[in-house]
Amino acid sequence: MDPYKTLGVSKTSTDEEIKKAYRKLTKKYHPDLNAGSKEAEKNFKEVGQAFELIGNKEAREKHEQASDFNSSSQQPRGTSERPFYYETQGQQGRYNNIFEGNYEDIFSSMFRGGQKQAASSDNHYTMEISIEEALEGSTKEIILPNGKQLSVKIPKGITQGTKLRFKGHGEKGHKSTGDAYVEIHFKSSKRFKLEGLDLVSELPISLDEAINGGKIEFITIDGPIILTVKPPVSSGTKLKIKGKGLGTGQSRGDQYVLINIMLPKHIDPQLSHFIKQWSKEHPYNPRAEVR
Amino acid sequence: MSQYAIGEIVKIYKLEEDFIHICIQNQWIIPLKNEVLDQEDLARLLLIKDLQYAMGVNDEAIPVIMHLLDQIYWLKNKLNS
Repeated sequence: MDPYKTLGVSKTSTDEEIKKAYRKLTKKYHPDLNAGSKEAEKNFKEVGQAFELIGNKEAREKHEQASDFNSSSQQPRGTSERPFYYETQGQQGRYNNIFEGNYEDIFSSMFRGGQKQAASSDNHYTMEISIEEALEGSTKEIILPNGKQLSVKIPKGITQGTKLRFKGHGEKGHKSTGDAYVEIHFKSSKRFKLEGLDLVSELPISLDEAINGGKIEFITIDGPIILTVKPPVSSGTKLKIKGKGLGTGQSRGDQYVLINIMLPKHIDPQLSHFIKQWSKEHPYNPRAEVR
Repeated sequence: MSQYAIGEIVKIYKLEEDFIHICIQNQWIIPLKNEVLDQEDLARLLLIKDLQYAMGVNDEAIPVIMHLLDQIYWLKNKLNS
């Protein structure tokens, strides 16, 4: 194999030119872009091997030396046998199966009339996950009633009510086996308490922030925002961040932030003295409204 | 289905261990067992490597491409079934 010819470059081409030619041909011949084409696969492998031989100065020098000595002595070390992604993405492909349930309704409405109803041997389950798990994605193992273990992969950003389908994990019928559906429900966590579509989270603030206000970073389910705390603010005050709850569009809930003033663990004598003095000069009754 | 320890993959396919761990951390691949990849994970990993190193795709575009690709395979399977 003449790697220069394979990549369509000359012996005087620079590393950058060779890399450019390699990338261009990889895109052209990659088997995942030419699924099932044996010729593309062959070309792709040759391009990879050629780049391995002349992809950088060091490799090129070695190749030249080997060529001077014996034109057939140098073979690329690259792995010619490898699985391609398209080969694994049949009906049993785990990664494409995460869309089961999400688009099921859309899909059946596209082809309504031609399809029979799902087999009656499908099993339906619900799974509760925290909002953090929904935001970050996770994998959970569940035990089905038949004793089989099922690994449920929760994709990042999954929404409440999504049904994940697991083909062939339902009840065995006469001719076929049904599917298992796992419907995702959210549950409260330490960080996010669920109140319908609204979320409530506690925000600890310092004495200084309570008295003088401040701009504090707060993580919503859409990501971090800067929350302006206007002074004075007391523990128990609820701030509302509109449209950062669960749901979508106009029906989307809100995020509530519950202020909690945290004093330092050790009170400095200077602060204690100052507060005592200040309280004598500015008396007020925080329980006046409770009576 | 064949299963491979990460160390085996590093050796056979000359991949960097850090690259594999980044793919797992980013959930670009989600192995069923800790530190063990099956044939599907491996094929996905090698495709991600091709996208990054051989085609120059950046980190931000990888999950987008893989997500679209998975949707295409799902739809293709639906049409075939």
